[in-house]
Amino acid sequence: MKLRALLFVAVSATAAAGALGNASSASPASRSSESISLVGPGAQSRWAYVLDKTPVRDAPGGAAAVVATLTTATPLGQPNLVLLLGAERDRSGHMWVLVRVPSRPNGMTGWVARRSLDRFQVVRTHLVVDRKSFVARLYRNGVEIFRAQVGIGAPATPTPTGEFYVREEVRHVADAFYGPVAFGTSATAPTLTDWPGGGFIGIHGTNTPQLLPGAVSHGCIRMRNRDILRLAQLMPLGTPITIQ
Amino acid sequence: VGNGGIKLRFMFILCVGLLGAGLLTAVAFAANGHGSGNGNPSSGGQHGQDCAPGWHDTADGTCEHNGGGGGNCGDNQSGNDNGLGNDGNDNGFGHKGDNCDPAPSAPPPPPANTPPPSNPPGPSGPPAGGTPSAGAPSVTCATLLRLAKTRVAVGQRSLLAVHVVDRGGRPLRGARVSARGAGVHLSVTTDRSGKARFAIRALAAGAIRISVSGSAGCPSSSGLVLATAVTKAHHPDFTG
Repeated sequence: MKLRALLFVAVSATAAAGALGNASSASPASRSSESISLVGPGAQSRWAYVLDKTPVRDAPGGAAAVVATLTTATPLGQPNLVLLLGAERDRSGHMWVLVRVPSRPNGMTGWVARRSLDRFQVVRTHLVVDRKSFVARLYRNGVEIFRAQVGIGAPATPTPTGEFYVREEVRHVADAFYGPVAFGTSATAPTLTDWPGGGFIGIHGTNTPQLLPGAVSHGCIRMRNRDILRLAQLMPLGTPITIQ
Repeated sequence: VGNGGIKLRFMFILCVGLLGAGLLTAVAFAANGHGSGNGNPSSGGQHGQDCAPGWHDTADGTCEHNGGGGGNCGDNQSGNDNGLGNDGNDNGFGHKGDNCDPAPSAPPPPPANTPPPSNPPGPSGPPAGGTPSAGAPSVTCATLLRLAKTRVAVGQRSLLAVHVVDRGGRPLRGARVSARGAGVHLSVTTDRSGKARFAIRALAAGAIRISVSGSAGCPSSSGLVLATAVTKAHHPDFTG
């Protein structure tokens, strides 16, 4: 029995050592030919500015169908950025990146040529908006660091659910309706399809805080001004947003 | 010694051998990825680009030398194309002992409104990347790029001053500096004082990556300029 036990320990140690070795070395080898996830590990997400106007395709490769076009600018005249989901090399060796497309319909993803994007940037924050409780929570590295009551879309103009991201941040807004800070997101209003600028959902302050919390907006997420100012200190561009 | 004893010794030796081999394998594989920048310096880029052996994709469309497997000074390795960082070097700017630290010092950026240099590159100052002379394998090639401004307005002509110095703070002449993004595609060369100027007019909002490429074996450096349409931002058209 001792012999068998000793042999089992030795074989187990060998297998474990091999697994450790693979864990340390497998990444470079596998990345070169396999799909790469750009989400994680942990709370990490990645985004990149769009350097050149570029087609979005339904598969990684120049021959794939074009499903949308990414421009360098947002409707508010800010540098456009996309949230990154994965990467893959096509048969000719060119790298393609799967991105979340800030366009209708909500939830669209597609592939863009790697060279059309700037360097990848990492964020560790994530905003979660709960429509039922009218609460927005910001997490950093999985830990809640911010919570505020919000206003969401009225029944006729609902705030969409799904996965989105923070695309831009503007300050010194001339219209007090939006408060001191407004974030632009990749989400679009499902019912206001002909809204100027495409009907994108914002996260902003308000000049009618007495309406919060509640289903009071045209789809945007409203916060009290002190809350949006605090959020602006904590939430960087590219932060993923979950609206549930 | 009976047959049982021989078997016992044989099995013991076998077990010890297997255990030793396993540990050696683990050490070998772990060492391969530990804090080694982008890994084996003899292998090519992993993502985004087809880089030559010993080079990797900087995620801005260029290949960059692997830096001897020790990470590249001045470049955060966690910003790699795959964004996954490097084993043991996620916060790294290269290794200690790679001349990556202490942090390089550089002169302050040039004033924004100085006239564009008119002199061609002169004989003084090291050329970009530093050309190694015979018998001088050590080359001063690490470059730093300083931008006088990082925001420009859409539609307006803006002069963008760039200052390129080596890690010792000395100006680098002849360095090729390129600008790409928001419809801008330009490149200029630094003068003897390491300065160059772009006259850019962004026709649309967007990000413009300014980069100076190092020569063989030298890291590149870059900065970002954001072109924004100020008036639009003051009047958002979110659904509200």
